Amino acid sequence: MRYFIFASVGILLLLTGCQPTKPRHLTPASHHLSTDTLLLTANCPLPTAHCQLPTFFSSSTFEKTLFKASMDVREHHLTGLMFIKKIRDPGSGIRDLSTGTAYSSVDAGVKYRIVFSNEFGMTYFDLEIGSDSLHIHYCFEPLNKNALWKILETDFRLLLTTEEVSGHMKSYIQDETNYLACRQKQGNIVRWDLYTCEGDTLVEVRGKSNLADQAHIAFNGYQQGFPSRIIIFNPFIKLNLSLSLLSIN
Amino acid sequence: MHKLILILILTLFSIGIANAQHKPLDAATIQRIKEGVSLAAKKTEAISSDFTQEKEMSILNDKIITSGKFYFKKERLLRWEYTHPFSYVIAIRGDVITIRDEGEVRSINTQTNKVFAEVNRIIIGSVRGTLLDDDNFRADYIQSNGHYTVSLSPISSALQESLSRIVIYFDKTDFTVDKLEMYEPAGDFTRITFSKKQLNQPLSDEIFHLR
Repeated sequence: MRYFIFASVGILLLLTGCQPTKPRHLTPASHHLSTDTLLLTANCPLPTAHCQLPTFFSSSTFEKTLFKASMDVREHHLTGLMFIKKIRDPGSGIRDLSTGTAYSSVDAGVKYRIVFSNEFGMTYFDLEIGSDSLHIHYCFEPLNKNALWKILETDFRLLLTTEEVSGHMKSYIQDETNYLACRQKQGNIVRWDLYTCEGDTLVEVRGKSNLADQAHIAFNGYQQGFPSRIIIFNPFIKLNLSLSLLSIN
Repeated sequence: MHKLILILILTLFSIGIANAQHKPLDAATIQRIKEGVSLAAKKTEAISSDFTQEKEMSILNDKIITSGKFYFKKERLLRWEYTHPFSYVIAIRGDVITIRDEGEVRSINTQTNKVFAEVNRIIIGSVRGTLLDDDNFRADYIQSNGHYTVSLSPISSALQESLSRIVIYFDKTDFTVDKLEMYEPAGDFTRITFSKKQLNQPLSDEIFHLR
């Protein structure tokens, strides 16, 4: 009986947490290329469209940003401010991805510091994430769970594009939305970036490295090329992190 | 989260003490401060004030600055309203704590929530001037120009995980709080400075009701 209960709970978790990462109703684009020079022949108003990496945070002009943030995870409802700052390693330069000349991510020397605190200034967590590193400077004890950090690490890697993206990129057109969907590997993460068909506006990022850390990130309300609202959702543990832009640079 | 709110709120109502890196106070002066705090608490029916909050992140050499309005009315009404750069209000009416965040209102009853019951206990203790004798903190009294300063160090290990100390700066003339600083274990700290304080001006109960 006990095994039956365990099995049932496991199946339930799988069913409830296992939303597909791959977008539905995709039609392969005309070419599969490994660079950003992909040309699309879909029903797009523009004659060509390019798959690009999200460059909000990895752009050379990005320095720091402040979001109003709320995070719901299990019984916790946390609200406050999230501060994200790029930290440059003096020994390395930063490639300007906004020019679209390189289909790769930030240099290994670039890291991001993320501080999430409540409205009164007390810190929930303070972390530093780089291409191959995650250092948690501080975490409020009730949140300090290894499993949670595995998930948040994937979230922030997808959001900040901290790792080199390599290998073959595959591209599709989503039938119902006409979005351009780009699939690629980022370290051990399989990520999907969905753009408007013009290829110039990132709508959503999906990705996962395993079943538990799959994430959906939605970008809305662009202001001068930067999304004013970002929503990160992890279906497996029902974690929801909402960010509303307050200031940038 | 609740603990952190608790810590901040309790400091707001603490009435009375000194300025670090200056001379420690003798027992007679400490007693005088405690009495001053207690007397001020008895005489204070209402407070309204502006505040500016700065979170200093030492490693990043950056500050997050927010500001808003603060209201208190005897016996147990509090409104703490952030107006810049975002809108967020926390109001306390007796045993009920209400929060309005981005237009959404939610309430917490401290009768059924131990953490907020503790918040409430400390707030009331603070308003009555008994916080300085609270067993949960070790208080060090210091004097400086213009202020009495009290440094409150949490005794419980649970509180120490999120807070290393609270420093409260009291006006020497009326024993109201001018400024407070909350130090975190990692070295960051948050400073809240009160300005345009008005004591015992009429305040409608309505401002403590969030809908």
